[in-house]
Amino acid sequence: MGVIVFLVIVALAVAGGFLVSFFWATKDGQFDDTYTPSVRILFDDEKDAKKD
Amino acid sequence: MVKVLKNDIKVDCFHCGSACDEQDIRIDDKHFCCTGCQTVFEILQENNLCAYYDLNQNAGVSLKAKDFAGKYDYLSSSEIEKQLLDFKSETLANVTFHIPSVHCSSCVWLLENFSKVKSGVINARLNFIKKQLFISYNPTETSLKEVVELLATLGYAPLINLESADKPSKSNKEQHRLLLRIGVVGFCFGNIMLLSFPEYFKLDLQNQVDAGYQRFFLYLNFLLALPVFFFGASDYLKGAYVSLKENLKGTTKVLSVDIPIVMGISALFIRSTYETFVNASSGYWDSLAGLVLFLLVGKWLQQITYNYLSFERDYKSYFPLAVKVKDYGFKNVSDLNRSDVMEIHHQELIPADSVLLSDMALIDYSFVTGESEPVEVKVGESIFAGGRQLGAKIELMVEKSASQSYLTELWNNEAFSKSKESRTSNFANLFSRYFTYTAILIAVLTGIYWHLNNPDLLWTSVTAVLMVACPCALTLAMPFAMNATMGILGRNRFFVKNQNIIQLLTEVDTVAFDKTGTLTEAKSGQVTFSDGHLEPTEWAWIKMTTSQSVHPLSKLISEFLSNYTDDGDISKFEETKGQGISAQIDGNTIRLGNSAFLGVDHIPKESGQVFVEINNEYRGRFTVKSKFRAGWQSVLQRLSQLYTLSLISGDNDKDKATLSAYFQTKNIHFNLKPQDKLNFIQKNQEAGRKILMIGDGLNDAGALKQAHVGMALSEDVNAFSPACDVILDSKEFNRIDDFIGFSKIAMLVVIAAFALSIIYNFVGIGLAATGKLSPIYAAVFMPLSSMSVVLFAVGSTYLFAKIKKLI
Repeated sequence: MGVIVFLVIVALAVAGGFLVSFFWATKDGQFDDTYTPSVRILFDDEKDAKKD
Repeated sequence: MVKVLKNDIKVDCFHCGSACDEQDIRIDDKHFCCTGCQTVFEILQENNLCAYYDLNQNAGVSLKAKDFAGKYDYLSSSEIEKQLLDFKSETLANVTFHIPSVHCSSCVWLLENFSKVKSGVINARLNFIKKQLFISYNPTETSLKEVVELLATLGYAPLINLESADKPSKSNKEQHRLLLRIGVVGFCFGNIMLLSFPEYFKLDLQNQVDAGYQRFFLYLNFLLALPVFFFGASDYLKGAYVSLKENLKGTTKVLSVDIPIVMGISALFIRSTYETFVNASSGYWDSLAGLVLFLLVGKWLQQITYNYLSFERDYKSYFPLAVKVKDYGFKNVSDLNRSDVMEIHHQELIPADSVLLSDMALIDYSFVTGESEPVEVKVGESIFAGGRQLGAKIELMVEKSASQSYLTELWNNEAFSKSKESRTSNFANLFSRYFTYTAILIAVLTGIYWHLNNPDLLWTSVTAVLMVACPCALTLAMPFAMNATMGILGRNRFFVKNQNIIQLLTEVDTVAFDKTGTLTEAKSGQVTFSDGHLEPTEWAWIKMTTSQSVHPLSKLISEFLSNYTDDGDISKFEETKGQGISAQIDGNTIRLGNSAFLGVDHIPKESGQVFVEINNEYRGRFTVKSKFRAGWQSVLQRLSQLYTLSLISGDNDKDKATLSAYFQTKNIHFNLKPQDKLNFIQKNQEAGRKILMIGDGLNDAGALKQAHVGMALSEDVNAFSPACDVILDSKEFNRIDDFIGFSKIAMLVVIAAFALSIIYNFVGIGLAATGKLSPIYAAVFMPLSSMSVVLFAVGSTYLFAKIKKLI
């Protein structure tokens, strides 16, 4: 019996951790611009190719 | 290798994709339409940034006829610079620009690689949706002016106006709060669901072990429900409290829709707490959390708007940031004092009421007053703020500061201080009043019934009724259906500010139009030539002469004759402001102008006429009429069947004859000042009319703001439009009636969804009133009813859009 109570509390704590990171991400402005990152990620990093 | 040649094969510019018809510059195998585009290509090539063209073909912004030499000189003034920068230290400066021409992924790529083009720029980040570029640079290596000039050279000219100096307050705080609420409630909802499962699968309470678990789960659920009720639903609790207080004080008779919601969730919370601690049986925790989550999601949908459009602009976004003041340098327009002497160049805007010191000026007031023809001003006469100088540089002495001028005075009107959000639609008001009273009535009747028959069941059934009567499905159907409608209208370039506007739009009974720029196209006219006959060479001469002048009529005529190529040498070009122009071409004298200028008084005077004289001989006349938008007649015809139409124009009455076919004579008004337009709307509102005002310029700003719904027509939706509720792309002008019609359909869909959810509510209340609503019933029934209502609302909105061919 004890182990289920323990597991439920651990599960809640883990989920709570994600909730805290969600708070952090929101306050940091991660959801302010939800479009540009989707474009940005497709650009090749060409820094090395240019050193010719 | 640069060659300039004329060829007959149509080629498109490698940079911007427009046809190289006027010029064709070639570098290797690439064609460019103008030197601007060529320059950008060379800059990119030099910096090894040609991947710009690999991402999207012809990604560039056309730079034809863009000339900004000296336009950004004011940025070198440290005072002006300070007002624009977000942050500045010795080695770091941050600035945020709004760049209207951002349009594709290549733009993102180039602008974020801006540090490679410009040394001294440390970092550049673009928000594509809001078209905002954040740049940090090192002020010792480069300057704000250099950064802006290079951006403009590349075709990404930042929008800098008087408004840029006001740092925007962080408006996304509200949105963050809502997101956080959704996060917390979602978290609690998921966990409560999981912890409630054992209950659904019937724990055996006789069993000691099972009973222990159950207690643990219940208490945990209670703990998880606390943030749901006190944090997640706090807006509703506050809203209901405020509305109740106002009703008790008697200041309003409108019951906010928050009240039935709060009745429902409070009943859920109290009843569940009772069940948990007194009966030790499961409560309705999962229903409570699910309900609040759905409500918050609906609220989130409701606040979605078009981030990249601005519906709140005032004169500040039309006025320049700085103006050159004699013996001082550049000065912020809001800091102008009386008797400052300003220098205004061709096409520049006059930012304050002032007196002309130069001999003569030609002022284009079209955006401010709606007058289509420029006004001639002589030395010593006053000029109102908002006009644009055409022609040579002039000097003016400031009379009144920018915020006190004749034009900006309009913004001090109370129409601008009251928020339109407070104007809720009749529909929502009616609904929440009747719904609340009905729910309370049923709860009371149920209570009486059980009190007489079986007092044990009294509280369980009364709370059950209140729980089920919570208008969750109702409050969800509206945001979802309206959000779908907004999306569909937006696809057709009809952008509404928020969901509330769609409801307001359906209540309209009168439509008021502006003329210049709304019914007519802003910068074009219909040119006809009559009363004579000209040879091709003579046409060419006229074209050459008119293309020298900046007067709108000359411009229209030279555009009308754009098929003729220049031939011959032009000399002795002279322009008499407000009168006419003359020039000599290969020994022939060409004169164009009004009848006084040419001395041809035998022809009846009519505005918009230009007479032509070649070698002192009268040869005929041009008539320039306002060019009405495509399909304007049919759209007015269709609208006039449903609405009373009025015309309120700031222009003179030259088009009266054309317009009287569509408007009743008593509803046509010309020569109205901006304030008159506002008064016109106000007067009609006092007579109980609900007006849709359609306009385009600053002169309509007051009327747009005062009207039930203000709709601004715009050639380019990202460019300036005055504060309004709806921005409509002017290309879609002839479909206005379709859009209004569709918003009515959307409203009917919402009403149908309401009916559906009321049926659900009655079934639910039926169960509840007979005392049969078990927690598991509630947990399944409430989300299911909400979902099906939402699906119905969204599905039928799209279905009707398809039928009406809007998607």
